[in-house]
Amino acid sequence: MAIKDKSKIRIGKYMPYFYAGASLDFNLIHIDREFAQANGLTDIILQGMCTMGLTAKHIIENDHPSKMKTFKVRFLHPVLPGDELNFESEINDAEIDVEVTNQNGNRVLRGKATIR
Amino acid sequence: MSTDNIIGKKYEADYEISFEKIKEFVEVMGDKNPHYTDREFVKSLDGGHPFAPPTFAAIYCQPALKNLYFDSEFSKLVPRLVHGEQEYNFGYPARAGDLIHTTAEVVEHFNKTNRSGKVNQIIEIMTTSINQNDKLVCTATYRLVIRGK
Repeated sequence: MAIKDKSKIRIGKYMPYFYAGASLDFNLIHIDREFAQANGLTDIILQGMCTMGLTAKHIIENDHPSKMKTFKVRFLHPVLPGDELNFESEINDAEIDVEVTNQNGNRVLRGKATIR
Repeated sequence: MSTDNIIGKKYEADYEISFEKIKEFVEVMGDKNPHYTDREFVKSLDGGHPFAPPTFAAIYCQPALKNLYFDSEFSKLVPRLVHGEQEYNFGYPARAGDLIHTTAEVVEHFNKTNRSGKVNQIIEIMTTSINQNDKLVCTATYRLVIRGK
């Protein structure tokens, strides 16, 4: 039987800067508003890998991290500072389907993980 | 437009995982899993060092990817780059103290028209990361989108 799990996180105003420092991803579209806008974005956007990392955290919680065998995601919509992200996952045996939506109901990420 | 001149480009680099970097990373992520931060707890499990979270792979792959991003052909594309898809296959766990060697190679580069009629470029990069004992830690596929104007 499928087990469902939900969690919610608000992306703080400075999260792209904090994640840049923690992850070494200093691509300017994440930290420089003028640069992001000059390259066709409405504002700085959160690193996709940050959204993926938060999704992995939702899946693993406090379990052993080796339980995650594979993890594949598609980034569907930009995540902006101030967004509220809703994580919803469904476990079927060794497979987990996960979806992340923002406060406007836009799907920002869809993914699948397998666990051992 | 030539779209195949970056296929086959390959870079490699080492990254040594420190416990301090793991702690910084999980603090930013708000992750309180003791496997990452509690030395004594992890020692009681198997005598080893704390674990890195799975998506810490973004960090130990970064030095190899950075070499690629700074390549003269590739760097022109970076300002309009966004992440489209990401896939990880995890093998041996990555832990504090590990020396990870990563190879990154461009395997695909083609044009694709999106729903609004813009022509984007799709670039796929594959990475392979092994630890100091030659154990496979992670393989990854980065699918990047270079947004058309």
